[in-house]
Amino acid sequence: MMMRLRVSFFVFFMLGLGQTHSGAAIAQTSQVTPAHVFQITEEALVELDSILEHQDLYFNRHINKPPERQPRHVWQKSREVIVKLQAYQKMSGLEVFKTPQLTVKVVMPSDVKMLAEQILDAMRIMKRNYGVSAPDAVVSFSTRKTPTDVYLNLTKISAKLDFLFGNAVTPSDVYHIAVTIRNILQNMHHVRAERALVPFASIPLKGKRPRDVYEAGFALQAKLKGLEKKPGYKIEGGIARVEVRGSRITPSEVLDLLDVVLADVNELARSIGIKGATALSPYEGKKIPTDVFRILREADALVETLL
Amino acid sequence: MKAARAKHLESRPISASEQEGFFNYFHPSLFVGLIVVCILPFILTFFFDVSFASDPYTINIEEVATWGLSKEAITDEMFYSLTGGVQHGLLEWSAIVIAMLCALLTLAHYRINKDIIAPIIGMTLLCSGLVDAFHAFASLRLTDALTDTKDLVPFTWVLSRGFHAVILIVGVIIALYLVKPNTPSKARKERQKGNRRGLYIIVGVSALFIVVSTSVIFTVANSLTLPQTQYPTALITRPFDVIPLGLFIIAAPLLWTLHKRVLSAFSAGLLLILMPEITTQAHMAFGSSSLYDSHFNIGHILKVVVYLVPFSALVMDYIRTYAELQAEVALNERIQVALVKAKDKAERATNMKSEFLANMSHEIRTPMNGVIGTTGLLLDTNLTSKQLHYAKTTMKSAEALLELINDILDFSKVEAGKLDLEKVPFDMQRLVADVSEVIAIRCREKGVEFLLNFTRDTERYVIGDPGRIRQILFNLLSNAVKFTNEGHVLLTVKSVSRPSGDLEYLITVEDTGIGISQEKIEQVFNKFDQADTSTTRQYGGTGLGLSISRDLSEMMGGYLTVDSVHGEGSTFSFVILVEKDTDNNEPGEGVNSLVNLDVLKPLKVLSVDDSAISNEIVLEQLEGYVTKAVSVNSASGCLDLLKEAADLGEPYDIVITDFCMPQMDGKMLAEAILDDPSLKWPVLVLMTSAPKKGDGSTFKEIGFTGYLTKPIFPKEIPLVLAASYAASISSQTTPLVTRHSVLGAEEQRKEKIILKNTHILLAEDNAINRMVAESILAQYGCFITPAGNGKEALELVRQRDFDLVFMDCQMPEMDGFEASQKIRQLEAQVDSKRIPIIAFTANAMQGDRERCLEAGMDDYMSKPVKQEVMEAILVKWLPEKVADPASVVESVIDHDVLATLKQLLDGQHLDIVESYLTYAQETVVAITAAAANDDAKAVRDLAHGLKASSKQVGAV
Repeated sequence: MMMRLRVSFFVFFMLGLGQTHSGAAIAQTSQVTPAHVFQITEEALVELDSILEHQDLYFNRHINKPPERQPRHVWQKSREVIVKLQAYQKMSGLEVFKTPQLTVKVVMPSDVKMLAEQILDAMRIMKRNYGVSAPDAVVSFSTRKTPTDVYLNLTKISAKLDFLFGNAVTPSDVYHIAVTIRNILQNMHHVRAERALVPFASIPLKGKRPRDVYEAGFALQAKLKGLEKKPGYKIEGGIARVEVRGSRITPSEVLDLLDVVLADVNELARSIGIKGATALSPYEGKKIPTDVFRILREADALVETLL
Repeated sequence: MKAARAKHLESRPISASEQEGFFNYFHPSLFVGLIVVCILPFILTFFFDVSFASDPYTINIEEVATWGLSKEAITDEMFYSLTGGVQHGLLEWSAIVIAMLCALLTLAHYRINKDIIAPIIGMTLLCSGLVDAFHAFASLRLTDALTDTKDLVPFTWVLSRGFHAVILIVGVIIALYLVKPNTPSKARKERQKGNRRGLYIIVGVSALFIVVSTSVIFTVANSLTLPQTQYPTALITRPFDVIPLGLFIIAAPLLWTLHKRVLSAFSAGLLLILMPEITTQAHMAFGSSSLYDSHFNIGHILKVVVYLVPFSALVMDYIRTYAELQAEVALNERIQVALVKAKDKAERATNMKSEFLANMSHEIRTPMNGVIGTTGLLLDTNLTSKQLHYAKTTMKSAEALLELINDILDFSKVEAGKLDLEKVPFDMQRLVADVSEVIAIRCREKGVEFLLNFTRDTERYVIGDPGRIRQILFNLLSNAVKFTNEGHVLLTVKSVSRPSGDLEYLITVEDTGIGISQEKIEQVFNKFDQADTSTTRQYGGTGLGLSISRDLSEMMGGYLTVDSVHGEGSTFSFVILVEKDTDNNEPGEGVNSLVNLDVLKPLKVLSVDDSAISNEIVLEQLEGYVTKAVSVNSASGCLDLLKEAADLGEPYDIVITDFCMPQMDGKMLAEAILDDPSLKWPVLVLMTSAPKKGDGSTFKEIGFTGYLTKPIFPKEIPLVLAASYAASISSQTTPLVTRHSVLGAEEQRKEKIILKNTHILLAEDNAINRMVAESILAQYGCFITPAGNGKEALELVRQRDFDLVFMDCQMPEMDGFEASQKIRQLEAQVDSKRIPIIAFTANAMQGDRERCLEAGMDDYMSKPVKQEVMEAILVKWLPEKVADPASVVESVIDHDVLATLKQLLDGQHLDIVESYLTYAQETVVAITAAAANDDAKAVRDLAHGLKASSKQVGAV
């Protein structure tokens, strides 16, 4: 936002032309749409930017818009943000919000809205906690927003929180997501296994890098695409497309991928009639990329039994 | 050629393309492309949210270390984390490298186009590159600056940009100052004129820029604190970057003016760099809030473009120049082809001209032979003083004309490449002496001293072309005499043996004449060109002599040079290579002389001459022959020295003095010496360059023992001094010692050869030429039988025996070639003795000699007939006929009777002599027959008649 302002200023400077901003009229509807959720995440972003500005921090990382995302993916991203905020809340002695549980049901924008509001609330509390006196942000409503737009905003919020807290996503952050994926697939295996599980080779693994983990996640997702084509596994929007990344893979990229995979695996589980909430695996520290890699290979073996 | 091309470029009218300006030098598509490059990142960023940022790779290296990765993998991760810095570094270095290449290209541009603007701007780019390099080092943590890195890196960016803007403006202002508002061609002309000045300016400006840039770097690197330049959350994130932005906007009109004054792709490129300059600064000032963000990277990419634009413009200038050169090369090739054709044509014309000249000279030489010969004969008759004057004038004019013809013939031979050099053994010393004798006479006539220095160790006997060497010597010496009115002419001859066995002769002719100015000195070797036309008017001459002499020197493996100071004199030197005549072991003159040189050994000699060179020559000749040889340059000095030596009890034994000296001449000196008994009366020898009739008796009376005329020939001084000393101590009265009295008898004998009973057939159709040849041959006592053509000659050879035949080549009915062939055939048929046949013709071109020899002739002699050449031929081919001249001259011919006869008959005496010879031959035959018949009476009567007739013609 600030950058756009500056660019506008330069344009005024160069051309000597004034320009007035005519924002779109805010439209409120009773039905929750991605646009509503987007508005909330926008406000959350403004609040977060004010904190960063207050802290004299300037986030300069550019985050590309992802391919099309479904509400279930947005929900997972929201959960990721909430987990990060919980860490801050714990550290700051604030009231810690509950971790949203995975529910085996179709995720609707309203479900995401609930999490988004939780995020906004947490953000405002944090703002006050940082001593930022600016009034709560109000962002005008924009129509024609998609879950993908919301996903992008949440990705920005997630990245900016890392920037604010000075944290980087670690393999341990990724590990428990991978374990959750494996657990859901295990459940699916119990219900729908078409062949026996070929135990994952007990070859000692070592020296895996985030890039290897990312490739393993990518391979898993490819198998899920195959699975989704089988009768009974049909899910809304299909398995999400993930951009192939170059060699520069950090745990952050892996987490982003596995969040998407988790959302899709959860939806696949729902498609075959598995009911009830699936517990997010508890956080375990001191994990390395090799650990995540092993879990993903186990998950891969489980998918093999379903194909 | 170069000058002509430069003149053409300067004078050509300004082309339409030059007048068009900007887009003619910078193609519109490139212009549009540049706009796109500058604007597109902004559009993509602003409207399409495209990012050019280097994504920060936030990673905890300590944690990565726990992942169990290999070293290589960890290194990879670390490199990933440095991506932004590395990208920045690469962009900066790209800019620096391009800036440097640009600067180099501008220097090359200056070298080719002499355009001073390019290197000045190139230097600004280079210095900007230097500060950029400092910034790049700072960002890569390679500098050892005192301040904190977080301030140093952004500040050095601002510094580099600000410096770049300022130095560019300064460079452009200097350029505008140097290039006044003129038309391009005039500006080019001015720039070309001021080459050296331009170079100084470039060096000066470069030094200034480099000093300023390094000072700035040094100052910043040594600053403890630097101002904050980044305000990420402010509206203007990098306010310092606004300064260069403003400066670039200010530079716009300056660069436009520069482009208008200097129309080139480079100046157009300079104008265009403002686009990337301004957009770079805009992105940085208003967009970039942190390192490696999108605007930061766009700014740096555009900075590379900033340097790329002038670089590309210079390349375009090169392409343009190359295209122009290609066109010029094509034009030059066409001109070259035309020139080669013209040259061939000119050479053909020259050859034709040479042939024509050779033919013409041949045609002229034939009648000239008659003119000179008959004039010579005329001069031998009794003439009135008026007739004598006219005849002499005719002779002089004819000789001058012949000389001119000879020059033209030589010139045409050289031009046609048909001049062949002879290789015959000869005595170089003799040749030099012969030439010197002639030149000395001319010098005497002008009152100029002629000096000869044939240095001691100079080889005498060599193999080469004496005629051509003589020609060069005559030419140089004649010129020296001609252009010298006072002072001296010095001829120096030296030889050096080369490792190859050849001899290198260095012959120098020095004079104290009018000299040649430096501007004219090169012209003297031009054909038909003397130093200036006034020289030609005053001194005459064809202007061919020096040119021919130089050509001859070069043909003899050497060269001819001149060194001269106007008004002081000239020195012409030529070097020639000749072979050493190892077969000739003839000792030098004087070695066989009766003069005993050993008498000189204990003696002390004093040389007196106001000419230092003359003294040097005397001392050099005496070196090794005497105990002591000293020179002094005045008579008074001589007297002092003599007195001093006498007082010391070591008086000088011989004084050799010049006659012509200022204040006290040689005669007065001698009188002074002889008047003073205390001087022990040394032997006195006089040298003079102005001998007079009666000198011998005059100087003998004064008290001189020896007498020499200048020039002094090699080894003469020791001989004359020894002879003089020997005469002085002799109890008998001796005549004055001269060079003639010490020379061997053989030298004198050579001048009087007579051929005994020699019958010569002279085949010549031209009556005058025949008469001249007959007259010369008659002097050698030959019996001549004339023939009017080859046919007659052949018939005479059939009938009678001849000792030698002179055969003219061009004759009616049967030419000399055919006649010679038939004579040889005749000899073969009757198996008779081979008669020497000497070609006798006016032809003088290459191939004539070969043609004569092929026809069966034995030797070759060109017209006009010269006595010495004729004599050489006779001695060469009829050595057995050469009689002892003394006996012949004294006992056979009474010259007084012959002279009386000649005077009385006024030219008709030859007829009488001829009749006498016929009568004598017939009488001898009749006496022989009578004797065979034992008819004593008849023998007596016939002999009596012959005796009486012989007395009448002096054949005593």
